[in-house]
Amino acid sequence: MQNRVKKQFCALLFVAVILAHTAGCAPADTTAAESDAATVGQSDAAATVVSTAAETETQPVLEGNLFLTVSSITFSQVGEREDVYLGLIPRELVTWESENPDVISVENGVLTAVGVGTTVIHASYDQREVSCTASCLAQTREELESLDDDILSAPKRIVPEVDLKEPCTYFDDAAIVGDSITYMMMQYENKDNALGNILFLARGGVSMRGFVNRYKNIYFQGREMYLEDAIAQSQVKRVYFLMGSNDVGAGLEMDVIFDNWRTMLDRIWEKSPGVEIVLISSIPKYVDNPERQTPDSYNPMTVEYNAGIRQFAQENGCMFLDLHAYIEDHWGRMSTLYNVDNYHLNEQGCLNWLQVMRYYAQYESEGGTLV
Amino acid sequence: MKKIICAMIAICIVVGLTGCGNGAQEAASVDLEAVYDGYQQYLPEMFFPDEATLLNFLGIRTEDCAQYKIAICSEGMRADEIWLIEAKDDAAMETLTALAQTRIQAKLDETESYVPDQFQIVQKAEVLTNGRYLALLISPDVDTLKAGFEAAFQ
Repeated sequence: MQNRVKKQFCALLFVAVILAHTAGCAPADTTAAESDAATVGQSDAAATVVSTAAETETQPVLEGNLFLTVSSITFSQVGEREDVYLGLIPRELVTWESENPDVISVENGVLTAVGVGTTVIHASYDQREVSCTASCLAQTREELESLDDDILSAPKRIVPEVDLKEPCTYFDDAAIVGDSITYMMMQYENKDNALGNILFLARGGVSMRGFVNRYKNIYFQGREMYLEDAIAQSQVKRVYFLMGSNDVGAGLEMDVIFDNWRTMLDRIWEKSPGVEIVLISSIPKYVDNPERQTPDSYNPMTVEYNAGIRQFAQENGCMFLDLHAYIEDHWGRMSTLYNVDNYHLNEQGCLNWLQVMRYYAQYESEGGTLV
Repeated sequence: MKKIICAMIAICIVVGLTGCGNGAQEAASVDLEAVYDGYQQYLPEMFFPDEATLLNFLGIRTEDCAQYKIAICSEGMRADEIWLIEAKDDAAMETLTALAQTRIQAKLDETESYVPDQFQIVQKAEVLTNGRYLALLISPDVDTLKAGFEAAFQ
């Protein structure tokens, strides 16, 4: 009996020891076990970290450059805001920074003038970064109007620079339709062909009213013809329009102007189905006494026209390019930097226009969309 | 014998006359670059359209031209424009002359209400021809330029 009990006791003891080892309950092994547990926990954590990092590392870095609308912007007074981000990375993934938020703050690409001064705005994503200078001139309207005209007549916005000497084929299947403003651009552009083989359909004095009513048409290859016929015969794939100055200048009602636009687009697309249309905002003119402008003066009417042409473009399947923004000064008139005769752009103005065209061409060629 | 001599003299006279006639009908060869060089002091800054612009803007096909020098004012809305062209053949000459007339009409339409001072200059524009040579001259100094073109053939 006792032997049997002893045998049972030894067997139980043996089993207990085996169990103790496997469970890691021995003192020396306990520390190790705890360490192991902690390590496991850390490893789990590390594993969690690693797995998170792994998850992070497997999240793809998006392709695409960062584009701002400006290399430099000058707000007239505190309180003004402007979205300067074009793309191509979703803005919420971009890191935005103002070197002096007390002057200009930035949130997701929207700048707000907070105080008077100048600072730099940075946008970064992955290894990519772009920046612009941002300034604000005055706290109040009174303070603004007390500034020298040299300051107020400077352009509000400067487009990022593009090397115009680089050959450009982007516009080889495009045309640009316009009046004398475009004609003078053609004169300048022909010197260096900064827009490559773009087709100029420009004629002094033309208007959308003239095109629609057929009393002032376009010349193409030495013959006068309807605009829609010139576009069809040229076989271009895209047409830019810089029109409006002779319609607004004639005092036409806005609804009449846009009725004419609708008629013209219908005619163009009937003969050239699928041709892309880009509507360029009309530019302001220079005036000596801008403070005397009234709501029905040329420049305020041009602002109204441009708001309308932007909306018209969205509603009618066209694209929009805002040239006006890069021409205007703090009075809403043509900057003296670009003025030759109050209506037309001088060489610097034409150069600026070429820069705008080439910059947005670069933006589009990398995946951007004119809206 | 006398009859033979008279006949030979008559033949020589006829051959001589036809020879002189051919030489008088051929136009002189003119270097249009040299003609244009003589114009430059009377012209503002001009630009020289490339082949595509010549066709699309003016309707001129360079293959119709044996030589050409075409310049358009690059300063604002001034009307100054010069075409100096030697046509390749008679058919090309007819086409180019028609294009020149069309161009003047287009500029008259454009300037009449838009830039009246330039309209007056375009009204005095000249389209000149000499054999297969064509000149379109739009300039405040059109009379001087016209004289220069005509002198090139003397």
